[in-house]
Amino acid sequence: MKNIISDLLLLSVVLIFCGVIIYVAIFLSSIKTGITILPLLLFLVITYRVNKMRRS
Amino acid sequence: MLEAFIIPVVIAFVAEIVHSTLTKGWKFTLEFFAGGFLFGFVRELIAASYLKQYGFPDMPIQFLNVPIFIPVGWVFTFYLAYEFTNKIIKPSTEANCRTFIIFAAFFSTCICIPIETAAMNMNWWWVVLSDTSGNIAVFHLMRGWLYTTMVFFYIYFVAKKNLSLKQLMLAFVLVIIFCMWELNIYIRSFLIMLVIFTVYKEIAVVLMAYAVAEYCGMMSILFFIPNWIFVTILFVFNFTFILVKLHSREAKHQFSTV
Repeated sequence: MKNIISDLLLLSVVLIFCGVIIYVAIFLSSIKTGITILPLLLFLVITYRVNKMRRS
Repeated sequence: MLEAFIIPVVIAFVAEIVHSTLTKGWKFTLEFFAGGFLFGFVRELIAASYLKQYGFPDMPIQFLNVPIFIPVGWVFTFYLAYEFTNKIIKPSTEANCRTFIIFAAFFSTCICIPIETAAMNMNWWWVVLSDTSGNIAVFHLMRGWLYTTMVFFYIYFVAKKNLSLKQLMLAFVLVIIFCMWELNIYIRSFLIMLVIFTVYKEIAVVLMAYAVAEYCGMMSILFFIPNWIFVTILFVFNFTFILVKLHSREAKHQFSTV
């Protein structure tokens, strides 16, 4: 339960960050600004995969 | 429109403190956040006093020309980098710590480009090097985030005794290299990196890649190479490095279990 809460809290921080970038991208009608969050998402995917492999 | 930056930073910062307190306790939270804030403040103070390559004209609550929200932004990045990198690699040995520092620095470059792009397009702050013609922040900023994160985690791990005291010397050499970069002294900084290469190959390879990109970036004015190509190349390098490193660690682990 504690792990789930801590993961959700950490995820909410990332979502807030991504939310700011998406807000700016929509406000400026700039797709390129929105695309800049892709490396961060890729890093998170690698984190998720490695963590899952380690647990298994 | 600056509220769109400040309010989310405050909310996310509070969420990070709650997360840190719940998972690691008050002692870690106080050490990490106070240390990170102090480090970020000193870094910005030096940048505001000597480099003067960027500024924050409309930011509220400034102390010695440093807006309080900027060191808070640094701690925000350091903590996220610490948490997510910790899920990939544990800083249990000195070698792991050095790899951890590189991965955390790469994470900060992932934060750097979106937030700097948003900030420059929204005029939250200005940068001398800014080139928003392509709507993407200049790749030079990635080196600033990379070395700030590297130096912070070196000092942090030495303070926490995960790294030996002599590693502080490497942090000092890194600061010298980064100062040389800020002064556009790339060729001579390569000589120092070659010396580092004989002892710490991984860090030297990362530094050399960024220095080559910076040097080519200076030359790119002559050849009109767009900024987004450098940003993409650096990210491809970062992720290739991470995947190669993880793959070699996995191979070593399987070999040792056999």
